[in-house]
Amino acid sequence: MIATVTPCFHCGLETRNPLTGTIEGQERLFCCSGCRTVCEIIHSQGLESYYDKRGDAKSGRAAAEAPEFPFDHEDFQRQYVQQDGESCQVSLMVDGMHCAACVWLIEKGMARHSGIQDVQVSLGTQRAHLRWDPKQTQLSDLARAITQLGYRPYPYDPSKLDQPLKARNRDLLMRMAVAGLGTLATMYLAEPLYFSDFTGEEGSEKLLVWLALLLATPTSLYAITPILKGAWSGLRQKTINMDGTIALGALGTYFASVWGAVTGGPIYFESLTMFLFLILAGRFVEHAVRRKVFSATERLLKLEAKTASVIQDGVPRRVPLQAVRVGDLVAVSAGEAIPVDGVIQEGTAGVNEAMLSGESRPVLKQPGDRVLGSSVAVDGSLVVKATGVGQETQLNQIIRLIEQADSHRSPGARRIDQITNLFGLSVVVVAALSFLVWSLIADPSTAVMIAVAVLVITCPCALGLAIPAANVLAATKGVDKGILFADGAALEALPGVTHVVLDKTGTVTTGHMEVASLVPFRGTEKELLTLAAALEERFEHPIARAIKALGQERGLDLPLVEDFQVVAGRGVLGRVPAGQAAIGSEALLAAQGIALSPEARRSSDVLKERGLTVAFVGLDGEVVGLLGLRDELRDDAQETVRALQAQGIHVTLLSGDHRQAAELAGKALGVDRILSEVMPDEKQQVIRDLQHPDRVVVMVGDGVNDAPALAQADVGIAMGEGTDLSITSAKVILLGDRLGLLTRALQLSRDTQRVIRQNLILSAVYNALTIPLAVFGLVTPLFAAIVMPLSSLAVIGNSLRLTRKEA
Amino acid sequence: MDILLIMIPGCIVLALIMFGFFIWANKSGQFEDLEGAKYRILYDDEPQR
Repeated sequence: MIATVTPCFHCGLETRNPLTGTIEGQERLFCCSGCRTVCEIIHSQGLESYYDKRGDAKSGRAAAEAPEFPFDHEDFQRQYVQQDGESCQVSLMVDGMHCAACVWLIEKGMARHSGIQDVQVSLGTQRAHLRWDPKQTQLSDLARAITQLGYRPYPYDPSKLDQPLKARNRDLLMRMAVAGLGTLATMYLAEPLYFSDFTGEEGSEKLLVWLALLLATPTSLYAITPILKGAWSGLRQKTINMDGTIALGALGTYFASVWGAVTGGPIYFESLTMFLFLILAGRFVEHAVRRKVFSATERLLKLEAKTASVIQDGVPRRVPLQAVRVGDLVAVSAGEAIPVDGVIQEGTAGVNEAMLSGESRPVLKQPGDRVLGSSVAVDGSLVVKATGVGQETQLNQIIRLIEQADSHRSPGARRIDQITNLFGLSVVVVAALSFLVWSLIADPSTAVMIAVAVLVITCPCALGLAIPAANVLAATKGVDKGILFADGAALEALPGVTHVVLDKTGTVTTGHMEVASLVPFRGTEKELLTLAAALEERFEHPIARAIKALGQERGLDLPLVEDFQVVAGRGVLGRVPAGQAAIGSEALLAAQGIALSPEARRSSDVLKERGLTVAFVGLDGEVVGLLGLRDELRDDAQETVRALQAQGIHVTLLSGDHRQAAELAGKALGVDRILSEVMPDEKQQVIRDLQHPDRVVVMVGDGVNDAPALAQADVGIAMGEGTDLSITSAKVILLGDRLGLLTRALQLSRDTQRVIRQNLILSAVYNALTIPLAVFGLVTPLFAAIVMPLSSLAVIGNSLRLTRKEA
Repeated sequence: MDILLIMIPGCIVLALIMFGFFIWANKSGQFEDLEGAKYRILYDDEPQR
């Protein structure tokens, strides 16, 4: 028996483990106790009109069935669980948390569980950290308890990704705090030196100066360590990078101040510490934003099957994906994602390779056929012999992504590197020249002071912050809007975009089928739909879902179907009161001995001409009707295409589907060019053909088959609901399944580039004004102390405008 | 002048104490989840049993 799925009375999502509640004397089903409580409150306050006002309740996508993880399996425990004396600890990623109430529910609900010692739930990272006594309970019970609360726990290994990021976060925070403390202390000490008419005894001024030296030395040294390391690695490659320029300025300032302390000249300790503090603060924020972006990316990637059912001694057993070896037999049940690459040993099934081939309809696979990991066995069970196992677990993918983003230098960043290199060199040259000239016209000690002043005042602070500040703030803004910039290079390349290539299925369309046309040959439309919906009732397939949805919408009473049978990749058979019925492809009907009438053939050709997928309905050896199905266009697809074209961008629609379907969608959208029946490996070629030094090509896609094209494009943009591989190949990810974010991402990147240009001009103006002053010996410590932070603040302030502007 | 000899060491000691607190807070992970903390005040405490 198949359980009927009743939507939750409050939120309208599917209820897997429904809870009952009494609302206004009637028994209702809820998906979780949170919804029940909210609903009870709404009704007790007389606020029922809320349900009318919020409109369509079907807001969320259908909740995914929580995959069963072998929580108590040895391999699993070794990988995810930390033993800690008497207790065990685990971090789980928890799906389905939306608000603080969810956090509350999990924390309180789990705390009541016996054996639980500690529960910590973080809404920001969507993670739960559990500590428990293994003698009293086991992890699988705890996971079940979380599932019963209405959330889905996923195993998650913190050591791989989170801990290094956390450690770096703490380290940066520590260095920043030390620099801040040093700034505070040296400023206190500098204040009387600058501003008071110093009337103390001879020794006290010296005391303040030496104290400043004493405090600034260890704090600066600790704060500057990572910068020195970066500068050193740059020097080994014979360049002066940003770190090098910063180190040059900082060291120059420091030694000038030490010289000043010894000889009774000017000191710049407070400028030095504040400069370091600002640089570190910038890096800390940059790191925090990057962490946010990657934890969001990681959440998108978690849904891939992480376990496999391996047949050992004839019995299927759930094991972690990592434990699957090449040559193992893996059982895949209907509707499940195939966890490995392999060859089918037993069973036939329609396999949905939409992610790999772009073909939205399942392909029939038989023993001996090859199947690829992460394709879905739609309507049959398979036994697959593994030929390729996931060497690349998702976490490794994400880590690779981070490393890429870290190491990847965008053209613009490289240009800045060249500028800083040049800048560093010229500062040294200018300082040396001023020393030479001044030693000729004045005494050597004046010459040293002026050379040092040049080094001090040209602190490249503003230059160092110009790009990171703008990029980081743009990324923050993007996260808020639902745009993840996984790579700063994307922000830089996007404004110049000339060509946009959109994938059809899942990108400009929702990927959900919709019944567009009913053609009955006998009886009414309603009778045809009733028959079709009854047959498809128990079948999970995009086409079946579309037909069922329309049946439900029209409130049809479905007759009982007996002898229900799925013919893999072709359709469904069954006996209804009216007779023996079938729905599916032309081949299915042919196999049932049903020939198409000329009328049916003509109608089906008409439907195909319109770009629809056709389902044939047969009853007692006769074709009684046709259904035409369409993949719905996204609401904002047309608007987005128009907006792009209005900006002079050439828009191409790319599709693996047949010509009619692609042209139908393309014409509805009004794109400039339509490419249909493009094979997956050709998609990359299409992008390559478009690419040209004068062009910037953006590819937007969602499927595994789009991944090479996404990587090939100047900027690859993935849909957040897309497949993992597409997300890891892309530089920008649009969350929330809204294509309209594309235009926002463009706007944001334009704003960012403008702010970066302004920042560079600001820092150039600063240096152009101050270097001559220093060269002519007009820079005093007080002047440096005021002007240096001012230049950084100007850059930061200008960048902050990015977050203020409503895009 | 003498007051400086008292005040400056005093300030440094105070600063070091504050810094010690900061190290403790950082090590114990108080800066890890800056989002969730603001919601935590809204939860009722578990009634004492």
